[in-house]
Amino acid sequence: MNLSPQKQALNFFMSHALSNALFLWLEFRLFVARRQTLTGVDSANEPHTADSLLKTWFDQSDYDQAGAISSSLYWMLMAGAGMFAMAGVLTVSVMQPINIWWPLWLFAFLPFLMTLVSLLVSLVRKPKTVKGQGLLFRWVNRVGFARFAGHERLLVRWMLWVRQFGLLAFLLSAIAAFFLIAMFQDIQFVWSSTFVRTADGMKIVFDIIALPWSWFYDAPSVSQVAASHAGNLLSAKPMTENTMWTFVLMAVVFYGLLPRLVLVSFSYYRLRKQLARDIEASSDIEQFIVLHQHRESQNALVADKEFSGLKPVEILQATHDLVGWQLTQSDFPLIRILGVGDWQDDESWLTSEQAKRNKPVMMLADIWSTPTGELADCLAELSKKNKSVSLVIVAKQDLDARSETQIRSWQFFAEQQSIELGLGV
Amino acid sequence: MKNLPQFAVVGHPNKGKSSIVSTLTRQDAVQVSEISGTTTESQAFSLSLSGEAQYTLYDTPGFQRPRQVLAWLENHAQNAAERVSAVKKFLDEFVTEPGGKFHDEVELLTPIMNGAGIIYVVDGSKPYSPEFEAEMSILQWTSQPRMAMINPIGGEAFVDEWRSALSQYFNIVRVFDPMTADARKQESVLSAFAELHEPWRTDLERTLTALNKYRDQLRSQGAFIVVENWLKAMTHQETLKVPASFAKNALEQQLRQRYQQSLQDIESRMRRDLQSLFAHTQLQTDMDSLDANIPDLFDKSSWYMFGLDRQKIIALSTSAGAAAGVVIDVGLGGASLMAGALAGGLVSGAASFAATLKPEKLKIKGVPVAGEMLTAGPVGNLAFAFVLLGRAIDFYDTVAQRTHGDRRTVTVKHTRFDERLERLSKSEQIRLTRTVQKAHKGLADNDLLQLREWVQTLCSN
Repeated sequence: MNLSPQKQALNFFMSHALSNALFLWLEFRLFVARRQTLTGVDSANEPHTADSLLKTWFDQSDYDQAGAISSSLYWMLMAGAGMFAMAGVLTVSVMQPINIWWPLWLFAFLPFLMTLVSLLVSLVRKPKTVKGQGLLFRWVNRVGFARFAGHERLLVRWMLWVRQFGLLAFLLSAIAAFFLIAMFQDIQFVWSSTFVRTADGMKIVFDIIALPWSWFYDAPSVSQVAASHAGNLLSAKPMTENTMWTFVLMAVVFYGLLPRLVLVSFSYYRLRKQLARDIEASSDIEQFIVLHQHRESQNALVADKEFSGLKPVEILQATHDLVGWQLTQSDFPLIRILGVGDWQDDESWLTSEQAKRNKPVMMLADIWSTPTGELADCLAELSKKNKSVSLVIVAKQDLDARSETQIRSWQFFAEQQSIELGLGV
Repeated sequence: MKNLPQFAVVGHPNKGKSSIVSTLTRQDAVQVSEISGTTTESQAFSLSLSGEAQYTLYDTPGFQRPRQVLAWLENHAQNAAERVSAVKKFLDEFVTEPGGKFHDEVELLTPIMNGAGIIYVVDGSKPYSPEFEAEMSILQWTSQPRMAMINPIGGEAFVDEWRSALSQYFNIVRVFDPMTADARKQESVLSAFAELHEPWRTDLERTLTALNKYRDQLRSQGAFIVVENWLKAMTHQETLKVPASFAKNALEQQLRQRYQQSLQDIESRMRRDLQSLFAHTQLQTDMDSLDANIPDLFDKSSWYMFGLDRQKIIALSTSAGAAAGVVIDVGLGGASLMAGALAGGLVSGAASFAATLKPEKLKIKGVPVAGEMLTAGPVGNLAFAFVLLGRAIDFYDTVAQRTHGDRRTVTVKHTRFDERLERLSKSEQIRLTRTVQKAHKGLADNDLLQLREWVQTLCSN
């Protein structure tokens, strides 16, 4: 069974990367809103499916991927920032031990806190309007998205996802920088504290921090904690064990990276779901199809000419020979009724000498009969034999609004046949 | 290409053939004229549902010389068995005569002889007369499946008379007014099509099912257009800076006009979308324009240089203070336990809070950097919110019920919203009111979808 146009559209847009899918969809909505049509689509042929029309639209659109490019640029910027931040922390004091709280705070605890806040905010505050998104929108508008005004709900979700992904890129590149620097430099992490002075005391703190990964990797032992006390540096004791880097790395991964990854996935899922829902609920696909299905009538006559009022004509036997057109029930003294019975009878009368009259001929027709080619033929035949032939329409009842339209039909006919028309009184 | 059911809509000129084609194929581009004889060529129009063609109707010119054609046919057929070949011969003889005497008959008979079923259209408001018999005889000669449609253009005075005459020539006779036919009437005509020719029955029954589904889809999408645009109007805001208090009244007036214009623009976009969805792109509508003269329209706040609001300024200066504090913390090797950042943020935030208390007094070298800001919208007035929704539903209802053959300017009738509300249960009415009440702050996706359902229920279509 064929997919519905909405499903076809969903498959079409979702076959692109998420940012591209979103901006293609928004571009498409703008295209439909402007009532533009595709070139080269001939609606006289087989009606087009949503999929084929969308593919043609894609080929003809000048989609510039600005949205996808701007998000990629932002992610690269964040990745660069992450790398520099980690490099800064690790090399701030060349060849000197590094206070362990700095990397833990900057790359584990602070990101964890921010992740929690972001999660709470995104759960509590639904992206209903742009209110509160002013700065983000200003950035978005800078890259030319102002034209998508009215689609803020989707854009806000997209920006939340881009932002979360940027922070993920920040942490990933920070970890990469960590390994890069650690490869060529012996990084010593030490701890110091005003309140916790002993290794046993700090061991408890480290154990609590290491809880998320303690099921597969141990927290630093008391001896390792003791060896990494900043006091060792002051007493110039050589540090025999340098295992604190694994602790820092684990903290960055478990507090910084993984929660952020979950949040990124969550944001991605929500954006994708909302985009899918927007595509499915929207009427744009149907409007787009309808727009390309419309066919104008070919060579239809346009009778938009304004006719003036019809001239009243007195029907007098004394001055005219009266011929009836389909007037089977008439009080007028008609010399012949045409348009009823066989055509051959009419034809033989029209071509006979009987049709040649001494007086001007007046063809009478009921206003509600329809002017046709046969009437035109009869008038033409009569005109061949008589100098004056006129057409007069008669009404049995008073004229109403619909009669006006019918009179216009007669006027249109008379003009086409170049014959004088009157309204019988 | 699939062999679709096809029908030629034929008859005397000016009996509403084009209107019938237009209504039954949902095409408002079919030229419909009150003037007789404007259709000069046969043209195929398909009913397409979501891009899939269901059946084809041929709009044809009316019979112009039926008695002459019948005479010609009678001269070329010795017996009943030769009638079909006589019609074919007629077409062969006159098809090469463009603009010739029998142009219109050739145009209307060609699709029939190519396999189309016949729908013969007559005017039920005018009496039957024998001159139609030539037309009906010609159609009989084609031996194609045929039905008659009585179009009560100006009333049904002669429907019975027509019915008894037509039933002698046609397998099925139906009364169908393309101007007012609702979905049920259209379905009944489609059912008649299905009865006409057995091989098309399955396709046409499938079309009936697809048409019902399509109507549901249109109703749902139309309701979504209403809801989306109504929400846009509800949340719309216009702002204007007031540089000096003496200009305030004039600016209020200007802002009111701008706001009203914006709401009118949103409403006209919604109408255009609805017309486009229901394939009524050429429909002329008459609806009174929206008046946004609502009480308590304006809200006053303050503006600041760089376009930031007060909240942002305080937040930014708090951040800047905290950043300065961090520098101190770094200098102390972290021993201060981030106290510098905390203190810096607090002090800076409090300072900017105090500085922005009276924005009109904020000046740099005598130039004001802040002042009063007038804001119109969003729509907080519940009554006006219902007016907006009611107007949108009225229009949606009108367009959804309009047939494509009816080309008169449509006047949108306003239905009292409380009458519409009766279609919802009491608890739904309360939920709807609550949703409308909070809509000016924006609605979540689920609220929007729920509102769409309600709008569908509130409509009479």
